[in-house]
Amino acid sequence: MAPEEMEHFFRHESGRIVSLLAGIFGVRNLQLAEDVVQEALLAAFTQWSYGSVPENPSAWIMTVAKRKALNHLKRETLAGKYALDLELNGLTLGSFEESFQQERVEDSMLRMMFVCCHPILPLESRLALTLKIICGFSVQEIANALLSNESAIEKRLARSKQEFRDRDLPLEIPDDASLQDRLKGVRLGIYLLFNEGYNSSHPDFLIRKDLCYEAMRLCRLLLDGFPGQPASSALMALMCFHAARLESRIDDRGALILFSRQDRTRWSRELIRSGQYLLTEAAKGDELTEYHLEAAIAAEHCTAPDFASTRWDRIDGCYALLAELKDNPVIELNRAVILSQTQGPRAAIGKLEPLKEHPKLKGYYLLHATLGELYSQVGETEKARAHFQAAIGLTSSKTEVKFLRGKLGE
Amino acid sequence: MDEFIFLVRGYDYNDVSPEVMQKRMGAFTVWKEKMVVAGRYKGGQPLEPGTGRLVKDKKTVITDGPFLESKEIVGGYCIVLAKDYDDAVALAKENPLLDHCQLEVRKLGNM
Repeated sequence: MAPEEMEHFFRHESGRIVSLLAGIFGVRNLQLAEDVVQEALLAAFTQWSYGSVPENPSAWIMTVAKRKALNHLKRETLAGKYALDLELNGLTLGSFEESFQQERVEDSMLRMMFVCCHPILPLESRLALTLKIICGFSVQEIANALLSNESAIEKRLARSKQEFRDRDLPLEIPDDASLQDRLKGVRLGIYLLFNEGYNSSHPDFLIRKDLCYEAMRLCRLLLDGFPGQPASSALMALMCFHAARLESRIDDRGALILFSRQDRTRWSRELIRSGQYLLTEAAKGDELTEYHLEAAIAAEHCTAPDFASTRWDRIDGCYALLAELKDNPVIELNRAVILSQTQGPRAAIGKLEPLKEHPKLKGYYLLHATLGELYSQVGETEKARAHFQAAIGLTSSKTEVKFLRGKLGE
Repeated sequence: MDEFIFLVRGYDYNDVSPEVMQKRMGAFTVWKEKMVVAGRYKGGQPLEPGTGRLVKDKKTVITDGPFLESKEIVGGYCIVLAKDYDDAVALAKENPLLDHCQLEVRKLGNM
């Protein structure tokens, strides 16, 4: 197996087989599916460590998982525990064998995505569940990724699983009537996952590439499973454009690099091309979502030859449309930044000062960091310092703090 | 060169995430391959986790393990070639399994 195939192999296998088993045992028995997979992965891990990795590692793990699942079923069915569930899922021990087919894996994962992003769950739980079940993260890894603690994540997961048992949710592709709504939910989950990685407020890691790539992997699955959904293409395009710039956002010492100073030769041409293709795909149809607009904005940035040639008018046009779709004052903050490029820092300051009173922006460190930057551009050092200091007090990200301290000359 | 066995003790299987498994396997494989290239790795195997059988005498077979405290349970072994105990211990110290288990180093008896 090539090293790149091996990257996150265990994690990804976990997501694949848990989804498949959940289809067999029923979502109410999710925990059993997870336990069986953990056992199978441990077996692979120990065998392969001492010996060697088999020709087809995926099939190897699947076979072990199948055997372990069967053992569980035989034992528990005798005890009467799962007999009813199996019957509900139209399964007998005889037909069990047939349900383990590689072709069914992708389908199971798609179904599982709808379950993990189910509208009955709070947003934070959807992210935690997606990471646990489909991405194969441990509770500790989820807690790190979502800036939470293990016991909080544990509780969220337990509550969600209880919800699954109480409601007896089916593992199915939603019917036509609710499909569009449910797809929206899945896309939102993917979007939040990506943002969590891209704009992580984690004190140590500003960018969690891992989460970004997981989000893109899930979106790819969604695109393959439900082609011809412009919003999904737009979401994927948006992530491609952002991911293209991942490597250039942080310098060798882990410090943040301002967008205007990023080395554009380090941007991934391949990802930008994919983004452009997807954006064309996204334009088929008459739907205009926030993903379309955010992708269009990112595309403008990615395709400008240098910072000075950025077409600010087009970007501002997209933000104006976005403001109509989404009631989010951060959009106004972004538009003020554009204003500073087109009409100078004074104009931007005039637009931003009143936003300081906005309830949603009051404690937002980027507002203060931006004002600090603008005031220093017009030479009002005292005001600049005050804003940078306010920003430092408002962010928990060590990388951001380092960046802001640099601004203060510390 | 003589044969030494590393008894891998105290494997903690609880809550080892798939990603951690992958990292540990990768690290162990690097060590193992280095040993193989040097011609000093004679083989190894994990023991299946779970309970074994303790045969105390002809009448008493205990099937309900564990028979030892978890940190003492042997989870696997590998056999390497080394000049003497110092050399074997040096090899053991390079073994990444040490990050999460203990290694008991024993010289195999010459027949």
